[in-house]
Amino acid sequence: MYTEAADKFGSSLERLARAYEADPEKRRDLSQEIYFQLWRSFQRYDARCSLRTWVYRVAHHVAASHVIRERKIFSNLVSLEELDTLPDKDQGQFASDQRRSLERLSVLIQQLKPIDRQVIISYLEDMDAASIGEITGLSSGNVAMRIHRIKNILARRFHEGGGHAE
Amino acid sequence: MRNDSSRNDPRTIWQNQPTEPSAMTLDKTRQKVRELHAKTRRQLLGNLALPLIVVAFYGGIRQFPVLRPLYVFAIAWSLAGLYFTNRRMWSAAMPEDAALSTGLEFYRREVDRRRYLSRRFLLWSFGPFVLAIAAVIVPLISLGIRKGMLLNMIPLLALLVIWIVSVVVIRMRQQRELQREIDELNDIERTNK
Repeated sequence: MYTEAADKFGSSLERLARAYEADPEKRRDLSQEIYFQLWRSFQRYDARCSLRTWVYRVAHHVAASHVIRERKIFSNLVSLEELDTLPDKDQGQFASDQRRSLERLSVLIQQLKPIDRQVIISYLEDMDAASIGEITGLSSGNVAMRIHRIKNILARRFHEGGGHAE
Repeated sequence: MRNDSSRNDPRTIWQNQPTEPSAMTLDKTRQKVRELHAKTRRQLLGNLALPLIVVAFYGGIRQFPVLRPLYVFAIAWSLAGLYFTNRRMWSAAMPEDAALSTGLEFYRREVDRRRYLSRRFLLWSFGPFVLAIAAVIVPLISLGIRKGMLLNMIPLLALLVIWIVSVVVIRMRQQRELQREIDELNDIERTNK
């Protein structure tokens, strides 16, 4: 089960770790911690939820603990609502290459509080509102409201890509 | 992979980022278990340091029998602190069934636990430490007064006071921020219903 999960969601988990930790060394540790906790968790997996929900829940739990442990929780993380009102430092500059766009996107995500971060990561991974609700525990209305905000923020900050963020 | 026209779509950018999958092999997992055990041992030894430091202060008050009860109280307090602080720390490892909780439930629990540990630190670790320092400083001050050297001690005393106040202020601020976080999570839970 662990091998199947690691094969199937390996890349997603790496992306998730990037969303929570900017420092490459710490990110590697976080990744390993996620895999380790995932391996431990399968002793209790009883198919009550889908494999994907289980994997993402474990990964987000480990990452949220990491945010708290690293005291990033005290470093002015913002909610989606607050992020929506913050000016974009890179406003007016088109990200000319994928790498720079990815950096901007990562910085944007890393400013968010853990719950909103869970929503935006799930959204970027192409999950539907029901799946996001199952992972985060937010109601469908709450998820819909947050996705609406995410789309607005992304459309504004990634000009051309805005039309595709649906 | 999406076509070139959607290259500025955040979801495409996100999903197409280069990754280096680092799934753990069984050997790596075993190594991780060993590291965790070592870390736990180091934490336990680190926590034992406080009562030992308090005991080390004893040398400073041997000549002042009147301060001995205060000193014994500081040791008892720090030992009790060791128990109370660690009691919940050992449950800090993520339970195997944590994935049965949603992100919201788990995060709330973690913030709550952090607030609890932060409060415990002030009450059970920092408190006896300050008391032990006081048990040493008081005789030093009386000695300084008798020998007319109190003025020389003022910089040291001032630094000590600044340090104690800073620790308390920082911890109190963290407590407030954690409480604010919990309030926000409560609001989310209310709108969730």
